[in-house]
Amino acid sequence: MSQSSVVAALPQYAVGEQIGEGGMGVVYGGVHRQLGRPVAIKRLPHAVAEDPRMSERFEHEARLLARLDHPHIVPVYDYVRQQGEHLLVMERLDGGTVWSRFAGDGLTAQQSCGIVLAALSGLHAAHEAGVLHLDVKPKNLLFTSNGVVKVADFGISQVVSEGATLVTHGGAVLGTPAYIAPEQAMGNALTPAADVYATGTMLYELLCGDLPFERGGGPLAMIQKRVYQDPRPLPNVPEPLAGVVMRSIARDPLARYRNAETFAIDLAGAAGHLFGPDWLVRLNAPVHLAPQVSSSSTRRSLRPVERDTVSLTQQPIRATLVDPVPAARLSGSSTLVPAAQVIRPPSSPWLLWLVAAVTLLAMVVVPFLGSGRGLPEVSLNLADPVQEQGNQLVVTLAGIELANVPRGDTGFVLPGATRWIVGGAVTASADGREFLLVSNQTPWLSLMGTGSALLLLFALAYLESNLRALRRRQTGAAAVVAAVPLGLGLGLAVWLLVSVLLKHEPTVPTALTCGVLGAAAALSASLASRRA
Amino acid sequence: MLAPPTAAAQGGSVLLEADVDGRPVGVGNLVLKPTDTVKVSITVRNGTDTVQRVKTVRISGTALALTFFTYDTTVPFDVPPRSVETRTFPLDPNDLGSQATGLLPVTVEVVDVQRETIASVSTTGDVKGSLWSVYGAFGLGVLVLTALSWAGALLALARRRLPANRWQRAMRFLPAGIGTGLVAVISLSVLRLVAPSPAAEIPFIVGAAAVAFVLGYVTPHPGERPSSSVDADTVRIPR
Repeated sequence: MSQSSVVAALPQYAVGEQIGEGGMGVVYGGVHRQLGRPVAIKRLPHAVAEDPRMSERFEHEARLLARLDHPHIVPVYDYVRQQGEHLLVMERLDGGTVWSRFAGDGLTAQQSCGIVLAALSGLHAAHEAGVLHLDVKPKNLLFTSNGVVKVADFGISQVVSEGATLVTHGGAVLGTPAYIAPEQAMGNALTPAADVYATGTMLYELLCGDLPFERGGGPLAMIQKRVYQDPRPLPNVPEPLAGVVMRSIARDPLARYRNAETFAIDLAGAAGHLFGPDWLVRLNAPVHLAPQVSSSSTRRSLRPVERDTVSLTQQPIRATLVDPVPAARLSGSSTLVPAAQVIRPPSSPWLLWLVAAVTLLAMVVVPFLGSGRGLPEVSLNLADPVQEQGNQLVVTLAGIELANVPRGDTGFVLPGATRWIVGGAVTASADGREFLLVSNQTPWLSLMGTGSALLLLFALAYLESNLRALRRRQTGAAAVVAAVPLGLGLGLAVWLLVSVLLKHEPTVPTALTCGVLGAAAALSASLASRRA
Repeated sequence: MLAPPTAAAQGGSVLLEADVDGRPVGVGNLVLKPTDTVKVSITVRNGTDTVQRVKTVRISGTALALTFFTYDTTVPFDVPPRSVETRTFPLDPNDLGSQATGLLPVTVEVVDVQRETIASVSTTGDVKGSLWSVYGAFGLGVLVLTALSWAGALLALARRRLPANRWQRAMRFLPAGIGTGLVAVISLSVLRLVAPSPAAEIPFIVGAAAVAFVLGYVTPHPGERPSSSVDADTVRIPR
């Protein structure tokens, strides 16, 4: 159907050019002929118009929407169903979208909080009337020419799919996967908490410029992450604001704010704490708040404000993600299937964990097996002269020279530091005749003994720290790369410690084997943690 | 490292030799048992042209510039110029057991009437005291605190609970390093594993502290912490 059918269906309006298009229909500009009032006319997709059940649901939603009268909701002026067309006539807002401002000059944290408070105010009113939005995103928040934020596009997904997320066989998602709540993605029962999730995700993005989940992998992978993974912590945003945002995007709807108003109360309180009780007044943005939200915003906090708040309030944050995910167009529900049918839990990286466990075990076992070349042993206190034949004594640890001394009057007198460095056995060569020089002191008195033990513990702690960061998605490839030298250090520490304690000859092949096994174990564990 | 146990001379020409129960001080460890009275014999060789007026013989155990025990015995005698005098006296170190234990640097000094040291000789004392003596408890305490410092720092590293500031993380590891140096100096001597050596004390402590500081410096940033403090302030509106 063309624009002419719209013109025919709305004779009282002068229908203008198309001003917008999305997965849920096309929007035309228009003017009411008698009143001269500019309007936006939304034409629903044919898939909706041709499906009698969807049509019924849409009519029901339209009646509810028409009753909504809230300063932060785009008002519906008219609804026309004629000749297979479903047309919604709404207020036309020319101030741009939150997304256009966010991607343009950027928004400060106060502006973002103000916008989200306005949106929550409108959403709560809609929820009270029994309407869920289910597609809250920066592009659906519009500004009037006076700067008032209004929520648009209510309830369309409810009409199309009864709230469940639909995907095409090609993997495109109907709707906006970046902001979709896990329960909505899986087609579970929906409550206002689904809109809380989308609004919280939007606020997360407005405050830090990025989404709470890693990018990439396509729309289905995006949904999968939202269903099966916890969001990344909000960077560079102080408490209590960060806590409010993170609670609003909790995976479990029960752990989230139950409705938009409780979210707004906490958000207003956190913003008031960070930006000062009069922050909304200073923001000079028209935001209509419920009395309890307003009082929470102006309540003076006794807690000290963190230092990094200053940079947060002054730096505008800009979008870093330029909507790369292709959205499905609603052209016929027959090609769409519920997302829950195609989303699978991420496969457990058991093979990587198995590789990590086996290589770790091998790394521990190898130094016990390699007992060296069976050289003769000379055991003594290394502070005493070495009484061996020859003119020159060279002491080495896995090829690294520790001492090279000529024969003195009382024998080979090793440098004073040798007794503090050497624990267990090291290789010695007197004029080319090799033997094992074994310290008869406790190995814990030596750098080789205590040093290797501390290196072992440090490498383990560092690795565990990185694995936790990977599990919490606080870091990415950098921690995986860092695992290689850490694993190498771990392997070398295990090799040296076991060699010292067992008084085995420390040899290069065993050291390299342990180092490589340690690196392999650490790398496997890091990759597994990243995927988990 | 242990300094050579030769007699030190004050003024360049007064020498002190000492023996305890017939064993010369400076050759091997000087064993001191709190239960046994020992016979201390000192010989002062005065190579100067003035009379050396000895008032007191002092036997002290010192580590890290802290004196853990001192026995002053008044033995007044004069050593004429260019002559040698020997005195013998009994020493009853019955309270030594509660003051020190293990291997400890011990100094025997002869002190004049102005309380100036005329000559001294140093050795390593092997004090058969109680593990709960002042020095023993100090050494064990340092060992335990050091172990706790390492455990705390490493666990904080593993759990990503270290401070966000790199220098603060380095400072978090510093006590463990200092403790390791102190353990090398004190605890090991309490456990009779190694005799402390005044020359090595400071390098040990500084070196271990520096290594720990560097380890702390290279630890990773702990990242943003999960929020936890918000729920207490949340007011839910019943529906």
